[in-house]
Amino acid sequence: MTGDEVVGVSGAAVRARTSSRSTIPRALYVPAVIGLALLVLPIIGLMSRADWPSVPAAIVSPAAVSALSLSLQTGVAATVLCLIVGIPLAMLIARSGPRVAGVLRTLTTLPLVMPPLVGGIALLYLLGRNGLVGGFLDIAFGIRIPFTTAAVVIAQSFVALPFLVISVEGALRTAGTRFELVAATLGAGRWTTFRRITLPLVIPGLVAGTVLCFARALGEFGATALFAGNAEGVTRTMPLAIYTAFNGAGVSQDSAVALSILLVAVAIVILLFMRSWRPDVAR
Amino acid sequence: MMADSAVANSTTTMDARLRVRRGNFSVDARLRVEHGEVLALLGPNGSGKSTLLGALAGLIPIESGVVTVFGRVLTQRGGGTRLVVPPEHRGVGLLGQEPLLFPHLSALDNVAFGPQSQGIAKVTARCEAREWLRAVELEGLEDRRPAQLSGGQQQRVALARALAARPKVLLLDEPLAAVDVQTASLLRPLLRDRLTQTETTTILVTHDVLDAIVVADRVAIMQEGRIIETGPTQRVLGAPSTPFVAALAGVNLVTGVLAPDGSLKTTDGRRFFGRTLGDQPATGAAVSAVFRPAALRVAVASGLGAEPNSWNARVAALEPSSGGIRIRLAGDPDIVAEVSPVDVADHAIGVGSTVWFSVAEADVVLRGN
Repeated sequence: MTGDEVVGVSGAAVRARTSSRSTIPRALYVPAVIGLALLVLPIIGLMSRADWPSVPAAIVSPAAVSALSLSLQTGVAATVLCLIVGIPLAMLIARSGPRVAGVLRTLTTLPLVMPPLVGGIALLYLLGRNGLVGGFLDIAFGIRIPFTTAAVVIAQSFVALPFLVISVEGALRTAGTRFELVAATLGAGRWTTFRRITLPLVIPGLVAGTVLCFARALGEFGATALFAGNAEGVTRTMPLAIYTAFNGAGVSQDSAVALSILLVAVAIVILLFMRSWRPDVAR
Repeated sequence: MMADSAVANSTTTMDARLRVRRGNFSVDARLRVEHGEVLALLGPNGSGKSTLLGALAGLIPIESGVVTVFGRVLTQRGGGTRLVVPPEHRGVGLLGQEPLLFPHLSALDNVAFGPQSQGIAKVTARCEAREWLRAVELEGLEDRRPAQLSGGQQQRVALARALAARPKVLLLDEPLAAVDVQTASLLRPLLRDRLTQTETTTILVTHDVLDAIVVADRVAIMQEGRIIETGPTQRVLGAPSTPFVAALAGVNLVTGVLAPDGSLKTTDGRRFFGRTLGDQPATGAAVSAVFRPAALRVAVASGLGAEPNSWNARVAALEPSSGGIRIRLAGDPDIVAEVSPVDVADHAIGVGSTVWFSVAEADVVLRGN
């Protein structure tokens, strides 16, 4: 499952530190290099296409600044929302019996295997004016969610939440309940134990999950496009701005490339931040 | 069966009568611990010691019975009642083989965790924790993380942490089993002193008789889920009633019935004369003979067959021991002999050889069961 791979990747990275290179069978180098090329070459392709002299101007253009600032704001909001609901959900899954946990985990990872576009449609049918809940919100409170900044945050949370839940759940499962039990025999109530023992023990997984969650929210396109639309300054985040620039009639695609490079740069900064928080570095 | 199965009095801290079923194994035990007392729970592996402890801590559900501390019911099941006070509200501390220190907290904060969780202000709790660390001789290591401490030091911190939470009853599950022999011999008196000083009512599960002798006031012997004997450490070990206790106490125990001539007769026909301890048992009554491994003499083969206090056996194993060489006998796993290396050499004793043993009447104690 995609979600398990997310956790597995960070686990493998930790082990790679301690194991020596010489233990790798030579035959594995070839597919490994191909895999790396598959991931890196497109970025190089992007860079090669860039009209570098015009990149700075494109990046500081009002449209780009507006999109980036909207992306960062909605991304942070979505991440905070995911943390508030995701940590308790991860706790629930990690401490449930195998059967319940299996069902909950499947439900949680559904957005991961679903095209985000489908997610957008689903959100529209739930929260749209004629939707299951949206209709009620409209009539009772006059609240209309679709095509607002709130819709962007909801769409981003929908696609990003599984990343957070899966990493935190893995960390919780690894940490086990032994320390919680010790805390209980020392007289600590459940909330104290959760706050002072459980959470600190899963900090590495929590940080990794938060960064992945934020990165996913930042890159979210499909669900946002369908559920939130593409209004500049309101719902046009970086990915939507790039799409608009790329397809823009009469506008040079250079601007799309420049915005893409900006997004890649932001992503690299995030990943570097995550590296500095790696569990084996922190301890 | 014992004096201490009298009615619970005001000094009784923990009183438990419970039955736990785990698969086809069941624990059915009754025990009572007085205020400030250290009770050692001794028994072979798989006798149910840890299961009993888990039930007392509220971690393992019981099938029936009741556990009280200072008269307050912590666990009760049976007769339509079902009550389990959760671990954090039981006031029952637990320290096992592994220290399980919180890895993200310093030694000081580990110890301060209990008091702080119980509502004591952080400054006060840390101040107390400093005292506790001094009490377990770890002054100066307050700021170390658990990973920066040795195994013995970690277990000391864990002990300080358990005591700092001021449990009404402290359950120790083989607390010295995972530290090396030298560290254990240093920690044993420390454990004894801290428990005595704090008057902590303690149940200590162990399979090491030394723990019981050094740390405990009283021992309870557990076998196959039952407490088969309980009493002051010296009395129980001094007059063992089962081969297990005898082995713990380092003596041999042979059981049989009293023959008309006043000797003990085993089911395989061996006879033992000895000094009778306590009331003279009736003929035909179940009796046991107790003798030290070093009291056994290796005899020259032949001519002894019909004599009492002697028998032959095949050697199952030879082991070094402080008193010479320890011989384990095939078919008689509970009996060990300790003989000098010279004897072993003179009689060419090896694994598989048949040896005659004898024991002087004066070295045997006969006792009614």
